[in-house]
Amino acid sequence: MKKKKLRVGLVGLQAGRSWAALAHLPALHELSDHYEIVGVVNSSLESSRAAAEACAIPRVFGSIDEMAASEDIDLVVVTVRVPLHYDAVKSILSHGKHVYCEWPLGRTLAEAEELAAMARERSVVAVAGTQARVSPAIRKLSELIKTNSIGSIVSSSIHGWATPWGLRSAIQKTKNIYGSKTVVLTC
Amino acid sequence: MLGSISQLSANIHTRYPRVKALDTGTYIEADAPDYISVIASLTNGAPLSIEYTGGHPVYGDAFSWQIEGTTGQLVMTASTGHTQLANLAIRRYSPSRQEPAIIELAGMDHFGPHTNVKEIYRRLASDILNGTHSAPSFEEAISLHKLIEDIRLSSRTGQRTSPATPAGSLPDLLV
Repeated sequence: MKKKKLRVGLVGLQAGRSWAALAHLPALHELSDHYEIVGVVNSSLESSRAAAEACAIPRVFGSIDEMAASEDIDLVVVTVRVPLHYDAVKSILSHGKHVYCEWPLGRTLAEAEELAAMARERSVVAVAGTQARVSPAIRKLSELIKTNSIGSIVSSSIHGWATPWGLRSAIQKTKNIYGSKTVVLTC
Repeated sequence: MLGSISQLSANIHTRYPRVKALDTGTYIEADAPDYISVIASLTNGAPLSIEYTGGHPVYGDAFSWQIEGTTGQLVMTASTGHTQLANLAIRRYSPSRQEPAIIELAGMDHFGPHTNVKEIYRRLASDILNGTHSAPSFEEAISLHKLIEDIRLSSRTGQRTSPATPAGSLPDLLV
């Protein structure tokens, strides 16, 4: 018997450059036993059509609401800018569809709480894209700690840098403008 | 992993208050912090410190996580602090060995921005089809949103805060 695949609708896809194109499409293609990409919706019909054609996606939807209401969609994936998450996820949940929304879930805690409460009321799977938590390396580190690979924990420290905020863009920006090594801190 | 945060004290700053809006190309005033430091106590009693800086370092790793244990040290590094898409490496240092042990990582072949997203989709399929609870849910997103609020609150007031809903580890998916 042929296994039923989960039919996916993507919100926010630009071929070759958006996060959905770089991360979600390859992931879904590698899991084609479980998933089938059915449709796409962007902010304009023109942009949706361009993405569907470039990525060989069969359907274009006119709105998130239309996608979420469709009987041909089981799961809607939200990869648009964070300020748009709230309305998108609300619409998807109101149609009782499963949702995978990129992190952060809302602009504020209040927005996120409202969406979580809505998901709780319905028997849907509502997933937030905090994928570092399922990274094979992070899970290995967790296992090494659980198996006492370094004994009991004394202390821990983390130092990270993250673009696009901060100095690096300032340096590049300044070099581009002045062609010198002068660094102006206020980019 | 190490236990949950029971108490924290934070210091956040916006060191680069003018930023370029990528969609319009114009410069706007930023109020989101680009420097965050947190000192915390974990539920198991161990102290934790976190420092996140906007930009990319001229010197050193862009991500470094050190865990000191009674019989050795684990160090996780990457070339970006965006751990969600970083190709993370783990080394273990022991007092008895001069060179660190490089920890072999399964599932990191052909690593790319899709690797961790694929693992979410694998879990999501199981959660929908088999009723498991293995992917990070909206409830876990709330815990993280609350933690961020606690960091903001502590920095604003200068007080230590106690996060109410600590996040635990996600279960392993046995398929």
